[in-house]
Amino acid sequence: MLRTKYIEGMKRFDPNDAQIAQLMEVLEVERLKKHVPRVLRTALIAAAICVAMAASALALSPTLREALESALGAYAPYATAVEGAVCVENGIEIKVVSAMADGSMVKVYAEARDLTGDHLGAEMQVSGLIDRARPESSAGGPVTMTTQRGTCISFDETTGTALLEFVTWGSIPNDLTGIRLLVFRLYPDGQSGEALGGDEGWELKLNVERLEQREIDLTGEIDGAKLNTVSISPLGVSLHTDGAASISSYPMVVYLQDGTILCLENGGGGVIGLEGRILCREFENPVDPNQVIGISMGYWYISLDGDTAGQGHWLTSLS
Amino acid sequence: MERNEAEQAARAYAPMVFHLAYARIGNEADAEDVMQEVFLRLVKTKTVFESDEHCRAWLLRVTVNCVSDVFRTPWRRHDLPLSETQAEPACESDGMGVLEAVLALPPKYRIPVHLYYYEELPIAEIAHAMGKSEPVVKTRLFRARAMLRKTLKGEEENA
Repeated sequence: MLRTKYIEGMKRFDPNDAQIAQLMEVLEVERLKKHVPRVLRTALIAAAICVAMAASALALSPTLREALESALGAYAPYATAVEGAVCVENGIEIKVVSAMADGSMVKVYAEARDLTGDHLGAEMQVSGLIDRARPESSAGGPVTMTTQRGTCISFDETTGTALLEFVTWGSIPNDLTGIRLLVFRLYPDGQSGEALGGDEGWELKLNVERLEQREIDLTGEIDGAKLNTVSISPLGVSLHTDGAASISSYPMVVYLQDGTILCLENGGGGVIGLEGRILCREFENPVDPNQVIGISMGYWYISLDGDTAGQGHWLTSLS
Repeated sequence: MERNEAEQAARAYAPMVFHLAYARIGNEADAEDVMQEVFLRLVKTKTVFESDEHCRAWLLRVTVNCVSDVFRTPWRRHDLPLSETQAEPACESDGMGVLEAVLALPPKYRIPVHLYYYEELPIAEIAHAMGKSEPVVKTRLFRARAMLRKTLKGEEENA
């Protein structure tokens, strides 16, 4: 009786066709990220001299220092060296080494070291987030839901130390003093294996400087989503729309003054408050925001001049 | 995993993942987010699945881990109790009373109840999906049944 009634009740919550279609769309976007060769490659020259990174990298092993240099790439000058953010739980030490942010994204790099054993490995998966909201503000009022990602990007077999990358996309506040990196769990053998981290996980506080963004008000709409603002920093582009529709699966392309065309693939976003959405995409290499003269979403092109946007129009191709 | 395999798995197992997430979270929007996250991880995994059953067991385990992580996010820690966020319950005759009673159980009991009653998994498989021992799963099921009996009996008496 209990089983039958429970099944009857739960059957009312089968995922509907729209939810399955959305799932397939998400998988398709992921497939495009993995397999489609990038025909619209950036022609930018990386201007990086890794001066800013040197201090934070000193504590790392040579292998992890190289991994951090590789992960930051030309973004090293934009990263903030972080010291003193360390947390030990269940014999695992996690230490923040570097971070960078703009108004739409925060990226934090941390090393994880097993102080009592050799549980960590190259196949490790990570769950965690960068908490931008102050605790008191998340107790009530609109909740800002955005995407986040935690990844093990390198593992030094010699020292048993992993380099972790955490990213969150969304509406980032001006003051990034005392933001928290919350590492929930480490999965040494992948998400289907045993988890390290216990009930509490690791909590680390850090300060990050936010890069300035070029902001331009927009008008019009794309597929039912009203366009509000586009923000551009050296890290990437974010598009603010109303909450009516999601255009997150549309390709975002950026056009530079020198003729370069950049197809932006990586990023995230989500719902802002009760009535807005944000769609964030990262540049592969730093871009001067003032060099951006246009942006297109799904073939809808908008020219940008200073802090003014031109009238949108349809393109026949992205190149 | 290749796209076609992942899409096939998504079509076959999306309801299973969605229901398990819903049983634990009690919110359709979050259950949908978990469903997407689980299948994205399936696309990215390097695991070679020996059979459909292996894939199914992997999905259950990853779903359990993903819903646990949802509850660790700060906004979830400050969420209203489930009873305050649920929609108006439907009448008992269509089975919603039992579902509501399961969703009102303390969180750690909902997953074993769902996997036992809805997916009809044996204790050993539930234990594997949860990363717990079989005695722990048996104890949680025993206690959950007792709580459900009490809740549902109370509802009958109040009806």
